[in-house]
Parts: sequence; C-alpha cells; structure tokens
Amino acid sequence: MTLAPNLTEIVFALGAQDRLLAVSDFSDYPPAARTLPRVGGLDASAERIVSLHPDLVLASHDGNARGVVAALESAGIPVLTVSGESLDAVLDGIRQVGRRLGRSQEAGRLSAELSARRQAVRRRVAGTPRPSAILLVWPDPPQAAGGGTFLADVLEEAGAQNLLAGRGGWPVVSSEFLATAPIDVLVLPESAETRGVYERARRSGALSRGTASRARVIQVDEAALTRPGPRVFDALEALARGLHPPAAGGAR
Amino acid sequence: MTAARGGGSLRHPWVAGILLLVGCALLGLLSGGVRLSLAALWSGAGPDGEAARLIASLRAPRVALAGLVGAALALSGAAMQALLKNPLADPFLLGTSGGAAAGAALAALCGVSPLLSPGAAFVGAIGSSFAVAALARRGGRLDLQRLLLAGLIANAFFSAVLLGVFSVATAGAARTMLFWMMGSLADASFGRVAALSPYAAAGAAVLALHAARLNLLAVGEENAAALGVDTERAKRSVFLAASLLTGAAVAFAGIIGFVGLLVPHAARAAAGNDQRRLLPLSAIGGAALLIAADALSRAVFSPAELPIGAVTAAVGAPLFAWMLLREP
Repeated sequence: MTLAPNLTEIVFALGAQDRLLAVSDFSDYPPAARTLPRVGGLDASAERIVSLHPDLVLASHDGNARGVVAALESAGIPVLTVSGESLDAVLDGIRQVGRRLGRSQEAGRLSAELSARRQAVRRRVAGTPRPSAILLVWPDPPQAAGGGTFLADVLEEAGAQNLLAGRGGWPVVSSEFLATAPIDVLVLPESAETRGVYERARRSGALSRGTASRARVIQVDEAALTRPGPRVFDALEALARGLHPPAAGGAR
Repeated sequence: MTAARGGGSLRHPWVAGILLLVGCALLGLLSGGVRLSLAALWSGAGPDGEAARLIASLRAPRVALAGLVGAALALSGAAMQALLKNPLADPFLLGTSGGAAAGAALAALCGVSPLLSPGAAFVGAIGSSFAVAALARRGGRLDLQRLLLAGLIANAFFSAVLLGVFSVATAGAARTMLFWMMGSLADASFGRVAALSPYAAAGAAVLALHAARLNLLAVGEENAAALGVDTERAKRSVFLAASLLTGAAVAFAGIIGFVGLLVPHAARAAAGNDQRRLLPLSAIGGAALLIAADALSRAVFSPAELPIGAVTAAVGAPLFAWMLLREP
C-alpha cells in the first residue's frame, strides 16, 4: 500500500503493481493506478489502512503526516518511509522499495538506467552557459523553489542557475524582485489545475512586469516535475532541453 | 476641547503623528529588495531607469494601500474600544475579521473566482457583525458584555469553518488562502486603492459624525441618554461603521492583527481620550504603522516577503506588553 503518488509510480515502475492493495488519493499515474482503492491523501486515515491489513506501507518522508505513520507503526504494521529530497534520494528510494518488495534486480536496473540518463543530461549541459532561472511552485502569491529543495536540485542538474539558491525552503518572492532580477528563464509547472492561475499571473499578476514578463518560459509537466519518482527524470530531460535547445548546439 | 484637554503626554500630537506618517511613507518607498535613491524613484531616470520606474509603480500603490488598510483597522479598533469602554476591544475580538476570512475561504472552496474573494470577505464581515449584534441584543438593547461573549462565540465558529475549508481545499487553493489569511499587500495597485477608498471613507465619516456622542457614551449611557443622545442608535451606527472598516480591510489585505488594538492605545496615551482627536490620530497612526510593517516585511528576508500579519504581530505583541506594564 502506498501513501503518496510518487511511491505508487515507483511500485509500478518496478512491475510490482499486482502487490498493491490500495494507493493514496492523488495516485493517478500510470492510468491503471486509478482503479485501485484509495486510502486518503497526505493525511490518510490510519484506521482505514489498518482495516485493510497491509503487509507493508510505503510513506513519504516529507509529505505524510507523522501521526499516521506513528499510528501504523504502533499498530504493528511495517512502514517504509522514503525520502525525496534530491535526485539521489529518489534513486536510493527506488532501490529501498525494490529490496522490500523482492524486486532488487529490477530496482537496480531502473536506478542504473535513470542514473545514466542523468549523466547524459550532465554531459550535455557541461560547459554551456547556465541561464539564471526561477522555478515557481505557485503564482499567487509567487512562491519559488529555494536552495536545498528537491526542485532546486532538478533545476541545477538541468543546467540552470537558481536565482534563489541563497534562500532555503520555499520563499514567497516579492513582485519587485520578479520585475527586476536578471531572470533569463521562468520554469512553470504545467497541469490542468494550474494553467489558469499561471496565465492570470502572466497577464496581470506578479509575472506581468519587467524581467519576469520578458523571461523565456519553460513549462514542465507538474506531476512529473514535482513528484520525487521515476518520471522526474523525464522532467529533468525536458527541462534541460528547454534550457539548452539542441538547435543552438547546446548553447542558448 | 476643554472637556478632554488632559490625559495626553504629547504637546503636539498632530505634528508628531503627521511627521511619523511621512517618515514611514518614505521608508515604505525606499525599502525593499532593490536599493534605489528617492531621486531615482521619482524621476525614473539614470542607468536603472526602467527598474526604478517599475519599482516606483509597484511600491507607490503598496504604500497607499498599506496606509489605507492601516487607517481603517486602527479606526475600527478605536471605535470598538470606545463603544465597549474596554481598551482591549478590537475588531478581531468581536469576530468581524473571522467572519470576513470565513466568507472568502468558503467562496474559494465553492470555486468562485479569486477576484471575487474580497466581496465574499466583505459579506462575511457584515454577516458576522449582524449575527454578533443579534446575539448581543437583549430586550432591544445592545448589551456590551454580551457583545464580547458573542464575539468569542463567532470567532470559535469561524475558526472551525476555516479549518474545515482548509482540510478539503485543493493544495493550490489552500496555498493562496493561507497567504491571504496571514495578511498580504503583495497585489496592491492603485485600482485596489480606489476600490477600497469609498468603504474606508464611508466608515470614517460615520465615526467622525459620532465622535462627540462616543465621548458622552464613555461617561455613561444613562448620562448620555439624559443629555439627549439616542444611545441605541449611536451604538448601532458605530458598530456597523467599525465592521464596515474591518471587513473592507480584511477583504483587501487579509487578516492583519494588532493594528486595531495597538494604535488607539498609543494614540490615547499621546493625546488623551477625546474621540474627536483620538479617532483621526488613530487613523494617522494606523496608516504609519502598517506602512512601516509592510516595509519591514519586504526588507527583512528580501527577496522573500514575510506575511504582514506576522510582522504586525511580532512587532505589536511586545510593544503592547510594554505599554501594558507601563500603565499605572
């Protein structure tokens, strides 16, 4: 049983989906995950989980409410908490999940393949000028990925320089900064739910003035980008392609 | 003026208030993530001409909106303190702000465009005021003790509504809501200043007309009635005007605490208890305080912004404690 969508994606990627009893509410990928029973979002109900008698619960280290995890552990249900704070942590998590599900070989193959894809991206962006970028996670108020976060790691691996690297966490940045900072590229997560809000921000809101309005916009699929699962490497490649278009020989 | 000559510690409270306001406005224009001289901001010339123009166009409406919201909150607090004869009274205490927040949160949950959330906040504030007034009414009279208790009940109820909305809202909507609830002037524009102005002006005008009556009420309701004041009507009008001011402020800037509590207190210490002086001085002080708090919110962790409600609480709570301890 999984308590976060990225963990569901990892289980599917390891070919262990037949072992899944239930998944978290937002587990919508791959499509087959949508037919599985749901046990709630990040604050899943411990009672419901216990009543399903899982052999193992996969929880997200940063996302899931500590109370639920503690309640499950005290009910004697094994919980594996997986961290998603960096790309390395994602690869590590895949191997951990593989071990616990008896899919160590598949996990080793998958993490090696993903790791090779990251190496290819690194080679590609090495030596090219790194455009200054901001990765927004929400436009109203404008909140961005600061240094040390998972998304900052993706942004820098894709060959950008994070303008907010000096600020930890998820700072809400001022309109003044967005209008005057030397922003080359704005990275915006793209999904059906967020499209409208970002459009409004670019038309009349925080992204409508000065340098932010002139910056190149790269949209990356939100679920792939923000969930620390296998698909984040798709997002990494898409972002690297956007930051360093191949037509220009790798340079901007 | 003779009746309330005493009580103030400042000889020229007007001069002090206006100097403070001008100083805070300059601070508001000059502080922020990008350092610029006043001359550059004014002319928009020089090497960073475009940046200076952009920043002036962002900061000027922000200072104006902060001033207007601060004045509205402080006026509302001053009026409620006079009405309840309790220096700890405050629009937040009486559930007005909570009603506004719940209104906006419910609207967001129902998928109403975020552009309309100020309207919903306003409806919530007025609705809460009417409910609280109805609860506090006993035998056709507005009972002041019951009013405080009704405010307490309203706050408990609205915080339940807010927590409920939060737990079922989508992640994005909850995020926008959360920052609005912590107070924000980030989307200030002259259009919003113009939209807030009529509400602020109407509330202020009603209070100005009732300033002398509030003085009489402060002496005692029986005495006021004996002097020919329709005390029920006066109390109702003042209560509604204060609600209007709070609702408008919350609608345009979210929940910002301590301004309504702190500023009238300071104004009373500086200039005495005559409402005809206390109300306008509170408005000036509230404007100055919120402009300064907003400047701080932009400068401290620049380029990140602090929620302004956190700034007013962090600055206001210790100040208020100090004032309380100094009181004889």
